[in-house]
Amino acid sequence: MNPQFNKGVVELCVLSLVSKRDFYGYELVEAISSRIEISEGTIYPILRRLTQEKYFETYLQESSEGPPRKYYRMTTQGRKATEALIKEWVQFSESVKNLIQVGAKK
Amino acid sequence: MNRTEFLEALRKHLGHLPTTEAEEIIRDQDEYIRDAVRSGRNEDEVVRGLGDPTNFAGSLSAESKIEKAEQATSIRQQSKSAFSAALALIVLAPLNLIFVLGPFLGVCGILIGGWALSGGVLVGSVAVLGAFIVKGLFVSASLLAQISTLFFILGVIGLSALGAIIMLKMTEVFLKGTIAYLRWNLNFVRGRV
Repeated sequence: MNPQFNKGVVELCVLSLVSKRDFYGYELVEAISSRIEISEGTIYPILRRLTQEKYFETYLQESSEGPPRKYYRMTTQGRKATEALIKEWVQFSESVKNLIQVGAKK
Repeated sequence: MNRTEFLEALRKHLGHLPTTEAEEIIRDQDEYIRDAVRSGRNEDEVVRGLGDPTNFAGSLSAESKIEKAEQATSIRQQSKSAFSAALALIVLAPLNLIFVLGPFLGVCGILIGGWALSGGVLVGSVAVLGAFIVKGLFVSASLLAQISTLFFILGVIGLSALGAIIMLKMTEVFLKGTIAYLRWNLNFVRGRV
């Protein structure tokens, strides 16, 4: 993925995935990297920051396969912020799409 | 580099963070690598994907210090955390010696100059006031001249106190700006994803 696009986009993906259900780290990286190209270490700092900002809270859950996993769960505060960000993103990407189409017609 | 080596290197480079924070990061990375390997991936490849442990640790500790600076409430705490965040950013990206330290020292110089000026004038004028009260500066002068001198001194004291207050505000603004800049700088250093 073009790194110019990336600022904020990966964060928005993380937010919108976790807003649907609780995720653990690797699962989240897999879900995002199946659609967009990211490097392995990208997600973790974002998760830490969003947790620090109280958008997420974490809990440990025993797994059958080994040591307990840390799950990320969205807080009410995080949900509000995510909704606002998604709205902004949809508006923005619509505008970009329109602009590109107008450009193509000429 | 395998999982154990990566985690060891991480532990070494997270040394200046509080232990609980460092251990949490190490635990999370341990979980991540184990999960990746369990899903059928090669351990060395996963570790390589995470990047150089020095950078990985460096950017996390810079982040943690910037957060501390953002949350600090007193000027002393703020400047302490901002300073160690700046150091962490210089370690992370040595070019920051120019982009962080240069402007930082420049503005610090201006602030110190301002403080010295307002502090110096304040101390000086208070001292003159003291001398005036004890001795009367111009013993031979008329009462009117005595009184106007007194008011002049009081005026200078007031002005320099005002200067000190302005300097305090400026220092606060400067610290906030510095911390915001450090955050921006970290995002820039991380740059490509």
